Amino acid sequence: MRRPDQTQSLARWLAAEQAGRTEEAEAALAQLCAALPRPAPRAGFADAVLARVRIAGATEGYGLFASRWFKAAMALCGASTISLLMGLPAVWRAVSGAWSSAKLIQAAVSSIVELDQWLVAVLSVGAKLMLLGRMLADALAIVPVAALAAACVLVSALAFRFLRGLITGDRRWVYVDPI
Amino acid sequence: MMTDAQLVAAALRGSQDAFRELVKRFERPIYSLVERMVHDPGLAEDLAQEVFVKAFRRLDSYDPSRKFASWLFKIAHNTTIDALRRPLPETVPLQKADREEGGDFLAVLADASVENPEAAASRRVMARALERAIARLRPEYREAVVLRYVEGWSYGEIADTIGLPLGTVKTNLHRARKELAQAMAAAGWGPRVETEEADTP
Repeated sequence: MRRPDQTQSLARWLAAEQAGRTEEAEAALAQLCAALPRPAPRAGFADAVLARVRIAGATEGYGLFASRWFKAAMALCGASTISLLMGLPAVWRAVSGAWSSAKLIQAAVSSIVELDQWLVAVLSVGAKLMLLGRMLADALAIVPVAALAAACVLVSALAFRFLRGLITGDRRWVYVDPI
Repeated sequence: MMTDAQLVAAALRGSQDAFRELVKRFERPIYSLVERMVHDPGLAEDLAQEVFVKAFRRLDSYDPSRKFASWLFKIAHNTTIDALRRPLPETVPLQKADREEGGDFLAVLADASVENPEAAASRRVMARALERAIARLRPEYREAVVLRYVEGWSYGEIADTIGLPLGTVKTNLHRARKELAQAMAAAGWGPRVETEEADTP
């Protein structure tokens, strides 16, 4: 069996294109494209898909562990553990250097004083935050203000969701870097 | 032979064989489209697998009154665009070199033994020129060209799949054909040349 002459199809397509005969051009181009080799995936593609489907099914119950919050919490725990472990030698050196009871008491007293000063600083910031919170609470106790604040938060959340949906949902090629 | 909708129904009842049959039926068209869009066989295979995994997970949302291929190609379109929006790692397309050397073309066109070698070589060169011209099209044109002229879809099906108005699809295809024709003419495959010998650039 002889293949259709692709060169003639090409000539027909280009001539039809030049003359503006759309239907003929389409038919000829379709004939040409039908003869193009179709790239194919490697053998065993279907098995690989089914394996992925099974893995996806098996891990579905572990959604919590795959969530970004869980990962963030785990990262935070890891970072805390590492920083604690890194600080441990310094603590040990401080304790072993102040081996005498006088030095130990002095170090304990000075650390209590430092802790006290730190607490005072934190508490003063906390007091200011409390003041701010109280002012906000007083303002929000007024029903129209509370309703307005709730409406603002709601509108912001909806706008964020809408914009996010617009950006991710608009799958036009113009929004993809050309390859 | 079972229809796509029957296979979907069987897959929904838990038949793995039915889903495997669906994958086998569509692996080549889906991979072919994705590969033409991303130009990286490794990534294309990964994305094509992702398309079928997503399809499996959402199989219950498939409306049997619609064409299964349209539904699946829409997932492929979305998956490809989402993947290309993500920052991609630098990859080396290993099979590209083979294709550039004509490995795939040679394999697929191997049964051209009934033709004389000169005609077969001419057809191969022309096919490669056309494939390159398609690869150089803008992605939205390229996807429409593949769906229309390789897969043989209607304008309406293409519009539905890639989420563009029918008029835009027609315009894109018209412009794509013009660009392809210009590229082929520029490569020496002009309409003025009638003989096979002179057609070879």
